[in-house]
Amino acid sequence: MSQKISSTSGNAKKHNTRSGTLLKKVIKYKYLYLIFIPVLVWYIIFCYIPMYGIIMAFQDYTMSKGFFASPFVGLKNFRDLFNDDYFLRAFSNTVVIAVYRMLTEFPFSIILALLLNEVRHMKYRKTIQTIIYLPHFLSWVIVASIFITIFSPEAGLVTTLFAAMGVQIPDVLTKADSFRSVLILTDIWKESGWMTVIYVAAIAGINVQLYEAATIDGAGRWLQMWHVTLPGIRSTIVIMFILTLGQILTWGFDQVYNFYNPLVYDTGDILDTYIFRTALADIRFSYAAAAGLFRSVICTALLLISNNVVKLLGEESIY
Amino acid sequence: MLFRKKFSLASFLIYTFLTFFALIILIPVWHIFVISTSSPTVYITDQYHLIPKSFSLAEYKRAFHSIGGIARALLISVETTVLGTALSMFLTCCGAYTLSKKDLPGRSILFRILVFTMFFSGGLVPFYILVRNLKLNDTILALTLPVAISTYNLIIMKNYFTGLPVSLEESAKIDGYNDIQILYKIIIPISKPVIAAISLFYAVGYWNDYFMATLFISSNKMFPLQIVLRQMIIQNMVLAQVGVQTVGSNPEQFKMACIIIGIIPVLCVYPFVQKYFTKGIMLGAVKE
Repeated sequence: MSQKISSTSGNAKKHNTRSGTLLKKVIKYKYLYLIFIPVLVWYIIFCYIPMYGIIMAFQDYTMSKGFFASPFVGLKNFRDLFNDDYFLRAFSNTVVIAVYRMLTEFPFSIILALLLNEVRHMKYRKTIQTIIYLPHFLSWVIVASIFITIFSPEAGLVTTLFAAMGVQIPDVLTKADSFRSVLILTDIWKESGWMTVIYVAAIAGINVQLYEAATIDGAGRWLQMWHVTLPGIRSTIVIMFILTLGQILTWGFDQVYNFYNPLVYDTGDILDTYIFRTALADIRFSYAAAAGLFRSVICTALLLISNNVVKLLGEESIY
Repeated sequence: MLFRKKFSLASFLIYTFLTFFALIILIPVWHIFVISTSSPTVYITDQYHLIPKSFSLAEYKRAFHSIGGIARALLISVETTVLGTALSMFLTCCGAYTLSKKDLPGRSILFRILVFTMFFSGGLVPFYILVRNLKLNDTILALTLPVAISTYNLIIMKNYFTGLPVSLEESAKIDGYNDIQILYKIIIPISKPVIAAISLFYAVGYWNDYFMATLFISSNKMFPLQIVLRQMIIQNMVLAQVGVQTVGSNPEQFKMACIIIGIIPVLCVYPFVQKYFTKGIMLGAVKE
């Protein structure tokens, strides 16, 4: 498409008629350009202007001096960053938690979708779907509030239940050892149901004749699941995998921010929460901007690499 | 025969597992609902029951009558959600419809300008400084305008518009409509599924937001519900400190009532829009 446009404008001098049609098209669509202006202005203001943060990362920015008067310090912020144990801790926590999520939540949602697909009783299936999609629409503030309430060491439902059975459970939300499990389990509680939406839709798109053929060949439902359903949603799984991979460093701020406390920073502090604190609690703007730039660059690289891997595998890529 | 028996066992396991998972999701919410609606006397004798023994809306009445606090926060949240969703839908429809015209000159450049922001962003710090410099602090605009467009939603909508039959627009053109008229008289009315799904996504986003409010709201009077909930339950601040005055109520029950108040609006809209989810999401997966 863009090639077509450039070739059209490139040959414009030679072929007046062509530039004539281009101009005609622009005029034909004048109203559409008009309504696009606010959208473009929004993107410039709120997405492109903040990209000067790239320069801030190389400055010693202070609010009073502003962007133009703050001195340049070269790579100092980045050097500090890699000597900062808290930053490195946050980075490794982010990656470790993301890997845990990929290993648990990702397959869990696929299995959940496959099980839903085996349910033939439509009313039951609709009910289950309605229930498991719901938590996705609750905020992490609400979800954290619910879990803090039921896990409260003095008066929580779960704590009391276990106490009634004679088991004393520790306050899992303030223990560094258990904090990652809390993150994974609450995320499964909230999001895994919603993640099945796309798989269930993909399964619905599989050609029914494939199942009929498999039945004639004598395949039972388990074999059908293995040889028809799973291969049928393979490309969806790959795409979801890539999408999740691209979000490794950006995932989870809302959740961690609402669940964590200084007691669990050792295992629970992630990049985004660390950047948030350095920027807004410590007011170290340039330092936080450097950390943010580091994160953005890795994210972009991850997305591009994973997308190309998908292409190499012969699947349809996303972007 | 043997196969049949095996199969029914598998079926049994599947149903058990799914029911169990659904219960795990439901029980915590149900528990909080039951406790928040039980009468103070019942609550004192039994704090953990799952089967309602009494029904009282006293805590809810307190929440709505509390001076400042919950009632005002609710109002701010409602305003933010309504205003934000309207703004978002306006911008998203405009952008999506323009980009859905395949032969629009410059379309792919414009599209790339949008998609690039999905890959790369300037980060939190410059964004924070920008919004502060725009003097949006402590206004509803600070909670809505800077996050008005989600590129992902815009692409979903663009894909939907691209899939609509061209003949509709052609006949409208013959009737003398211009593109803007076509958009709001023909395209939007026939795109109900995608409009419903995307509106819900935006509305839930605004309703659930606490992050923008954490960044840009510092006045007690402008706190949305999520912030007040956060302060009360997660940060465990004393109710009076949050600006909630509740005389004679049980703080634990009061907090639970507030959680339920935060859930109810989502619950009310959700069933009506549920049937459009799959369609909305699948459209996003269609390649550009």
